[in-house]
Amino acid sequence: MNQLARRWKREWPLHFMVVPALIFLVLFSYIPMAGVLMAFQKYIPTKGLFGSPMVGLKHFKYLLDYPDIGRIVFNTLYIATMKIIAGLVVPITIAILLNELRQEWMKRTFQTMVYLPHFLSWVLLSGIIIDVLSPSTGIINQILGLFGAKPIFFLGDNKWFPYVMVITDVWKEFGFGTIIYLAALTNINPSLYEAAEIDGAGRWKQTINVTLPGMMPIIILMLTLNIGNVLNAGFDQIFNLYSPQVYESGDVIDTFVYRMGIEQAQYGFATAVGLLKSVVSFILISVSYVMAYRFANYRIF
Amino acid sequence: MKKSLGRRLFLGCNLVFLALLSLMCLMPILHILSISFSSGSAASAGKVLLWPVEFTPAAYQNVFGKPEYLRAFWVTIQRVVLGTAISMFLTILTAYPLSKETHQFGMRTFYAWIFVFTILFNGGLIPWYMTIKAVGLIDSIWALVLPGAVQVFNIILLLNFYRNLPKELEESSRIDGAGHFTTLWKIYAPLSLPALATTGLFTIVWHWNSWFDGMILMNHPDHYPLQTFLQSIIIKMDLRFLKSQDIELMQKLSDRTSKAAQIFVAAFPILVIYPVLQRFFIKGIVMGSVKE
Amino acid sequence: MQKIRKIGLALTLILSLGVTACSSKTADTGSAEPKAAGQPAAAKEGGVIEISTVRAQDPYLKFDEGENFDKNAVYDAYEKDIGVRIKNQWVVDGTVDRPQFQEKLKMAITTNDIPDFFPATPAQVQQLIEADMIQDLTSVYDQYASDETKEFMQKDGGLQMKSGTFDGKLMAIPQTGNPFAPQLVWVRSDWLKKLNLPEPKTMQDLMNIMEAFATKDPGGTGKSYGIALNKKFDEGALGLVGFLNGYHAYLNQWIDDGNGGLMYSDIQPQMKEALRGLQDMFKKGLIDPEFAVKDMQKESELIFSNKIGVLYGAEWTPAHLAQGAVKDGKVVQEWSVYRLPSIDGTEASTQIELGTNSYYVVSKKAKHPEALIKLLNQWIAIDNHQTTPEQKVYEFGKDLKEKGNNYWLLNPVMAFNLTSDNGDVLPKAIETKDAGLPKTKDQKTRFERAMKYVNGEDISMWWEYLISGPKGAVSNIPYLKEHNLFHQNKFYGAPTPTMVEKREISNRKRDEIFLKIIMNQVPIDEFDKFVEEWKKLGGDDITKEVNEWYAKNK
Repeated sequence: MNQLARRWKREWPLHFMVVPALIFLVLFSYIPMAGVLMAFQKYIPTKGLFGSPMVGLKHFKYLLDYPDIGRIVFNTLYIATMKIIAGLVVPITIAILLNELRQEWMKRTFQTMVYLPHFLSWVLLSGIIIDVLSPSTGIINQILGLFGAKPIFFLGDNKWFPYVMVITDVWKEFGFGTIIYLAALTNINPSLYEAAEIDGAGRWKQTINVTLPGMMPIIILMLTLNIGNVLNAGFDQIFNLYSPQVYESGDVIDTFVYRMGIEQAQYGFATAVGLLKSVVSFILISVSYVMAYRFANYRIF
Repeated sequence: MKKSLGRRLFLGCNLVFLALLSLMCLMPILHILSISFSSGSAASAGKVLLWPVEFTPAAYQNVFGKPEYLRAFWVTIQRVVLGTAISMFLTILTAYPLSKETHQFGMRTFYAWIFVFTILFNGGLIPWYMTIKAVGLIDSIWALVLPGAVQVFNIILLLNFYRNLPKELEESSRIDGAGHFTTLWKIYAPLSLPALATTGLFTIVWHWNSWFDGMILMNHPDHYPLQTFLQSIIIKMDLRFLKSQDIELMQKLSDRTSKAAQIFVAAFPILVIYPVLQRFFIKGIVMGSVKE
Repeated sequence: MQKIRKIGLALTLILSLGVTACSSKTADTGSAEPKAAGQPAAAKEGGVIEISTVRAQDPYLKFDEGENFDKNAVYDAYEKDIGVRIKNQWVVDGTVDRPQFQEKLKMAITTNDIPDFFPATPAQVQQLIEADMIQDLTSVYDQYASDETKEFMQKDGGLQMKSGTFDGKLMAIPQTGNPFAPQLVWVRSDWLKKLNLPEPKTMQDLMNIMEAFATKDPGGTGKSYGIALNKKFDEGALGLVGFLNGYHAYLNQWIDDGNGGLMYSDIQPQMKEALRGLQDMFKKGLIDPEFAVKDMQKESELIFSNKIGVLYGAEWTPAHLAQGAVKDGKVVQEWSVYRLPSIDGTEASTQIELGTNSYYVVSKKAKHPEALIKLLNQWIAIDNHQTTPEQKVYEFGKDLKEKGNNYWLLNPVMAFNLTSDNGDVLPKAIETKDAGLPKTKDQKTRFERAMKYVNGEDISMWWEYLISGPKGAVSNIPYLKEHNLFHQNKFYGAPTPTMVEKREISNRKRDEIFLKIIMNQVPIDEFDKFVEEWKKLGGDDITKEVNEWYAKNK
């Protein structure tokens, strides 16, 4: 008892600092979470969230019974996993390369330029991408043509579609992603570089031994949080670029739920899918959290 | 200091590579800018690439002549300023206790999970809307500011930066008799400027780009933020049930140059925000102050 | 210390917020109780009844000084003339059929917070009936609708009113519209002349034209195609529907099976033939191989840049084509329009739907359902014949004259002519420049626009001339009506249970297989497999349900 009181005396300001944010979360996140009930209901507005009839696992069953569900889940995982990996490796690499630039103004200019595509919506970009990738007039195919390659219909070919999604997504987002790693770079103690230089380590060695370890906490953090996106393949992008001929390789959970939503003015199904996705994310993030703690002795958050 | 040949070669290649990459990223913006300065017929025929065809600034006269546009701009500025101020205050404050070790703050891990849990689970749109309505925020600027005030991702990011600050700093400050609050505002916050600039940027961008909440939570178009207002020209029209009285609207919507101009004007402030914030990304701030 | 006080202040604020949250919640549920249902006249104050609704603010609406959506000349006129005060619960940007309005309405419905009356989609009507949120309007309509209104609403033979009737109860009043909207074929007439080709009378003529356009490249661009299609089969322009109809195939309709029942159009042999035709065209290079990833606007770039000179589209298509056809006050692409050419000796029918997809419904909580009917009466009266000059206020606002502010958009309830005679009136009026012929508001506007083009005042009005002028789109409608060449969907009921459950998967399969056939990625016989699959995927059940509905509603 006494110990608890002592502890409270020592820690109360810390509790106090958490409370304001906590109040907001309870109000705007935890209270609305009651909505997951809809996943098990046939929601009727007049009866409300607590009065609508329960339908058990009907919505989940519908999802699992959907004829092409295996294909759709596979597409989602395939595209999302590649996006997670590429979305981690590319920004880190570019951040390090930018950091190697000696001229400060160039560094800043390049940083700003690569960050631009993030601000354009997929609706807008889809038109540009269709042009660039066009088999008849697109610049990519014209360049490939110089090497004697046959034109490729990137957006209409099931072999290519998933990769096109990954590459265009990385192109759009890597600049914005780089910001975090650039900030992480500023956090590295410069004396570590000095020490490495005295030891005779070249730039490459310094990158491996100083830069990367210094960025590691942020890298692990980003990886962990991104793993939670393994069932999010990017709705806006795919929705604006796919077509029935690439359903086979490009139809993902979110586009499917969207099409279902048009047919059924029901919330239960969408909520059920959302809940399922959340559970998967939660498990994956928990596992990576524990692993990071176990093996790297690092608490991500 | 002399550079080796290999090093010089690397720097040269690096420069060329990054320059090309940057150009690739610049192109879509250039494309949109060119469309906005082109004639309507050239734009709809897809003739505009990276330079205006049949140059005309007409689209911009159109944009700046619209009172609705300017009003929406003002709403966005309000939400960005208010939202960022509140969010950053909460982020700075909350990340501090969570950055402590378990032996310093026993419940930190519990709290951290409480926060992270909210990124993973949500009850969906309808209960979220009901709550905001019950709180009485509908149709006010606070509806755009308060529900998203706690940016959990930013808190986690910042706590990771706090942790990397040298422990001696905190200890010496505590020995001087400073409490947690003083330590946070006097030592932690100033020393994590790059991280604050980063999280600040994320918050600003998030507020600037959000449009869905404005659409759902506002009861009058006059209260729309800019991106919500812009949705009415970006979202595609369903032409299957076009009524004859909608023809003029359709024509308006297919006016690509004015679309491009509106999109560009809406994006411009946020595009220059990063270069402005960049001066906070300076290496060695931490060490400099430790040595003092 | 001061900082701590500040934090304390913030906290107090937050806490008080939480408290307001709770209190306003209780207040809210309190007011939601049905207070005085079913006593119409009770709440009357000075003979004025109040009714709440939700609105979309069309970008074309320009308010007069000092007016806004809540307080304006049109709303005032309704209050003065028929004693109905309209109150907006909320207003969004855009139009009723766009996402802004629909998302907001979805929130209102799911949180059981609907206004007294509002426009709903067929799916929403169904949902509102199930949730018991809207009231039966049968007796109110009988009692309050004027004779003129009753006659007006039945002009299509009563189908649209019937579609708002469920189990004999009038639950939803259709925002009526003209169902006779044909698909037509649009051809570059300057190219026809250049290549000395005849007008397309048959599908074979059209094929020859498309082939000539693709191979002879009259646009001189180096790469041309025969026809413009886009990724949405049922798009109003650049869609597939008109072409399919030329093969007597219909997209997504329920058609007569010859035995007094209904069958689904997508799986009929005519569809296979139409797809075969498209596949042949694709093989010949008449179709842009990338059309499947392009939406209408994107594919249209090929039209505007002189690479394509044939497309199918509804009567408004010229408004779209104008983007490329008119430049710097000159018409640079000449188009002409024809009825759908047919593959055989039988003339092609153009497929049409019910003519409305929006219904006015009245909340169970509404105290004055009759207000909706009064608004409807007034609209029909003033839109079809204005008796006094003051009534111009409903169209133009307080100044009673046209100044391009589109005040008519403020009318909360609208119903449009179920049978438009534009096709009989406009082409003749425009040809003879007779301003006396146009009667309705729509006709007058169109006449004026077309005359601006005819008189050379405003060449950008070219599109209206191609729609309404002699040989324009609507000039074909009288012929189509006369020869019974409109093919109306026989099913206009609410989606059946199996439809709701299975339509996504069957549409997905259809889109995938049709597209692959057109693009010659699979042989045409895959169509037969699709038919089998469709039947198994719930198609047979849907057919059964639709026929049960048909038996009841024939």
